[in-house]
Amino acid sequence: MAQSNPPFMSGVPELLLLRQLDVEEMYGYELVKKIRHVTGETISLGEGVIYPVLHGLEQSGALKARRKKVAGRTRVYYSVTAKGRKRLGKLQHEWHRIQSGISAALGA
Amino acid sequence: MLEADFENLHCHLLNAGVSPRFVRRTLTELRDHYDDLKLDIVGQGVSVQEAAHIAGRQLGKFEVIAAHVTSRKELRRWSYRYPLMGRLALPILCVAALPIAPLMAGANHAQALVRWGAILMLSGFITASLFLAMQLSISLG
Repeated sequence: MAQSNPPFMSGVPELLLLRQLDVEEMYGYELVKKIRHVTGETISLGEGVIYPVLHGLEQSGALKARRKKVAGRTRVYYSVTAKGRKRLGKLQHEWHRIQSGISAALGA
Repeated sequence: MLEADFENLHCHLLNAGVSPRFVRRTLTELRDHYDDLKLDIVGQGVSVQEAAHIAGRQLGKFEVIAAHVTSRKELRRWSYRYPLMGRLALPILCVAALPIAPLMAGANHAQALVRWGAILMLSGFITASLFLAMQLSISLG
């Protein structure tokens, strides 16, 4: 039975954020720049709307935030929790499933 | 982007029921993001005024940011997340707090209450002694 995927489609920013934060902890601006860089500027998240996504993930326990003073400025750094890694695995799996489905459709 | 825009967003989010903790966080991080953008753009040789304009555009419209924040139920105050529960639980909690409040106040001002009680007992004892003396003087003639 095919699974439906509307939550996944709205979960693309979450997938990108969790993937980057799984590599290293970052603050919002750094994260936006990193995503722009690793996606070859093909995906650019709305810069201001990244924060509600980060806060939502933090509230659900997928991320943890800590304040860190860097060069005289206090930044909020985000990192992935064990729960977040689990969610990332699930989102990645979903992404590969959809990608292979679309590739098959395009190749057909 | 003007400071007034940030203030408007602040008020809008609070009025929409977003938790004050997340409103503060959002505003602080947006301001920092805006400053970082401006600095980077100025670093590319753009004038400060032009950099502020570009940074504001890149950060996004506040209406859009506000819509994204308010659409996330988990960022709202619990009374907004569960309005029915809020309406039911809050009056019960208030009624429960009524008898507890004097006890709490008593615990916080225990020394004053002990002093007040001791003075009350002393004055009661003096009054009772005076009444007793008056009674005895009447009885014994």
